[in-house]
Amino acid sequence: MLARMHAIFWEEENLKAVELGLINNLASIIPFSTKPEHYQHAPHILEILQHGWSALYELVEPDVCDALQSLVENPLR
Amino acid sequence: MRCSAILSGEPSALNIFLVKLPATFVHKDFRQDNLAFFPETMELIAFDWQMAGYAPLTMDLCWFMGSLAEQLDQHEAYYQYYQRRLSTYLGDRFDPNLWRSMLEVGCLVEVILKGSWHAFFAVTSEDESFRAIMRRSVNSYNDIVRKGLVWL
Repeated sequence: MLARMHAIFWEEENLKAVELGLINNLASIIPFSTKPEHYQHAPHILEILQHGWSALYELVEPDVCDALQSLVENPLR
Repeated sequence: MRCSAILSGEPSALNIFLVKLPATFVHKDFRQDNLAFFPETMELIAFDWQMAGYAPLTMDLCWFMGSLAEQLDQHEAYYQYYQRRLSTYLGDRFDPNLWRSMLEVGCLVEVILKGSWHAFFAVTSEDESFRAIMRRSVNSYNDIVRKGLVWL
């Protein structure tokens, strides 16, 4: 199903039409925010993210930790 | 502030790599919870299309694999299956030289998106078996990140 769908719309120029609102591929790789003000109604999510990133940096090896920190802090720049 | 900083800054190597990839229509939350199979008609239906976009295929493929952490040993076989199907559908438009780099950077992006969640449950889950699954997933990140970085 997935491969077929991707093949059908492969490099489909019509999907670039602004009115479709589909041009969001780069925004998609921005990590979830860890700012408290973004989670006033879901504080448990904030806890998962904050605790999760700390845990992740401890669990991976140092060079991977450094690379991830760089990418996560600024994935698009 | 976050958006303005992104818009005004120089693109990263990751950004540059991603925009050069072929794009297609992607669901962007493609996982088992958003799928329903109807055996009577052999139809597979996907739900929750609100995040659909136009992006590299790995946004779906790697996200889906990230949701199958308990089947980590099967991921390579799944990727190969998908590759065969895609190349069949695309024919001459499928670029085998691009495949490996696209997949490995896609997996790196998946770590950025889902890594903190898996790490959280790797250390906090009260379910020992689930905690072990998440720990294995996080352990696999060392290779995934290093392989992805090679292409940037």
